[in-house]
Amino acid sequence: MTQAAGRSLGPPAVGAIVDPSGATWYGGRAATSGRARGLSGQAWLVLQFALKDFKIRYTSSALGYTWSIINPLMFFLLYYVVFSVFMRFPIENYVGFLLLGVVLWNFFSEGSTNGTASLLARADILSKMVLPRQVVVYSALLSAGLTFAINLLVLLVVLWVTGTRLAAPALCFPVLLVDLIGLTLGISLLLSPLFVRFRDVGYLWGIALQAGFWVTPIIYSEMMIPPGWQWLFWWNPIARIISDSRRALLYGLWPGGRGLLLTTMVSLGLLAAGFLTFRRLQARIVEHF
Amino acid sequence: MSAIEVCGVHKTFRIPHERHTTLTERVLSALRPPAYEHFEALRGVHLQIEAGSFVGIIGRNGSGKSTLLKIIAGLLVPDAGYVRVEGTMCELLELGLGFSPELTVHENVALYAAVLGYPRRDVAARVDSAIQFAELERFRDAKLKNLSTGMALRLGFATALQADSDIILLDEILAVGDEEFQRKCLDTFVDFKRRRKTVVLVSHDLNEVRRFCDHVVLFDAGRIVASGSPDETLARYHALVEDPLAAAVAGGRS
Repeated sequence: MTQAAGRSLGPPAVGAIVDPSGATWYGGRAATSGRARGLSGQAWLVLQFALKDFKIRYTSSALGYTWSIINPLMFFLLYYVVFSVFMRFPIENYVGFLLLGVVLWNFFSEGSTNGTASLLARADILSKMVLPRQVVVYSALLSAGLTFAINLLVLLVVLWVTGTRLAAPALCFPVLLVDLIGLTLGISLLLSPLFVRFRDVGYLWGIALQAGFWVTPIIYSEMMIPPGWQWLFWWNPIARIISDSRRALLYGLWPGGRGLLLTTMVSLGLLAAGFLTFRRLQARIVEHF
Repeated sequence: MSAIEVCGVHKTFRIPHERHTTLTERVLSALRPPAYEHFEALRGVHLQIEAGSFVGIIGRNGSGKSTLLKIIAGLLVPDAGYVRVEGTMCELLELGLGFSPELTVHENVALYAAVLGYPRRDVAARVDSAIQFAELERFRDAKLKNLSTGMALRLGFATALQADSDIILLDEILAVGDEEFQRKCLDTFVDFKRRRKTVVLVSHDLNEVRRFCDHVVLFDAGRIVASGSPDETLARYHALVEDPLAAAVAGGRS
């Protein structure tokens, strides 16, 4: 039986409780999910939302999906002209170096921006229909992930064409991808319910991303940062993800174990904080739309 | 066995005061703790709804009907009390919700079906029968924005029906469609009754309530003030509307 048996106010619990007879209880400070829905049902829903996003985003545009490639490539070209032709950074294989940095940063930036806005963007559905609310955050990230996947393919082609061959350290790249996704998801889960209550969060995150683009070694190398400022690089997980990815994919070097461990711990820590915050704040989120 | 059991449910909304007209006031208000108006939407509601019954909820605007429906659906969390639901449930609080004008009829129904949690094995068949029920087979691959509002409403209703849940929560859906849509809804209600579905209907259309409901609940100021056969409860409702003051006293509002 549920804890409800002896309590007049019913079971105060997180999540709807399904008791052995198959009934759903909710009350107290319960967060509810209403319809019984398995994990696969949730995954299906995430996929449906993401596909819808992707379809709508590029509908009634002549070039359609190709915009998701053209956009990062245009910025890549711009930075390339400025920092390789005008300013001449002395960086080996600058094409791959720059493109990799831009592609990884774009996913982080787009994913966290969409993820943060996702709850509010779907306020109409979430306030009138019962569905697990984290689904909209996941689908915002998945939708950014589709663009990311296409960009990674373009990156691999560019690397091949410019003569970069992948070596054994490239095997580290999936770990770095998991870190990147964990980081982006953690931030989205953390900020999306806060954004519903305080719209300032959106503006602040926008500024943070703009500052982050310049503070993070994307167009330049961390070697160029003076020793007194190196801590800024060391404590910036996204910077270390980009830097380690470059070592692994472009230069065939294994990333430092201590750095990789720290990156993973920061990612997982943020993810855990995100999950906990989201779970706590989502229950009454409808009242704040 | 009751399908829905609502026990001692309270719900209070905090509505922030926002009357800052000048910049100075705005700045000062940042220093003060924000003032809230507390609105007690539900004050201790007890309700048992038997499986297979058709229950109508009536009451004036702001009396707590929709809040209760949202709490039963699981969208809002009660401040006190609990709700127990037995069986699968489908809430239809607004028609055509979540539809995107840029997607086709078929894509929209498929997405809505995912939200409603159609059983996965026969999603395709149910999506087809929803489109068929809405009489929109010809427009299957047309974008929703090219359809009329009425068609979109019909599609929303049809999709929700195909979820084939044990319990159906309906909020004011009859008010929006044209006559043909309403006729279709009413036919469906007959079908619900025949198939012993549990239906909770929030409505202002008293004729519909009288015609279909086995049991009618009257809300006023967040409390149930009458509950019983349609004729009795509707009579109380008329009294309430005609003489709000006396009814308010009876309802316990000071």
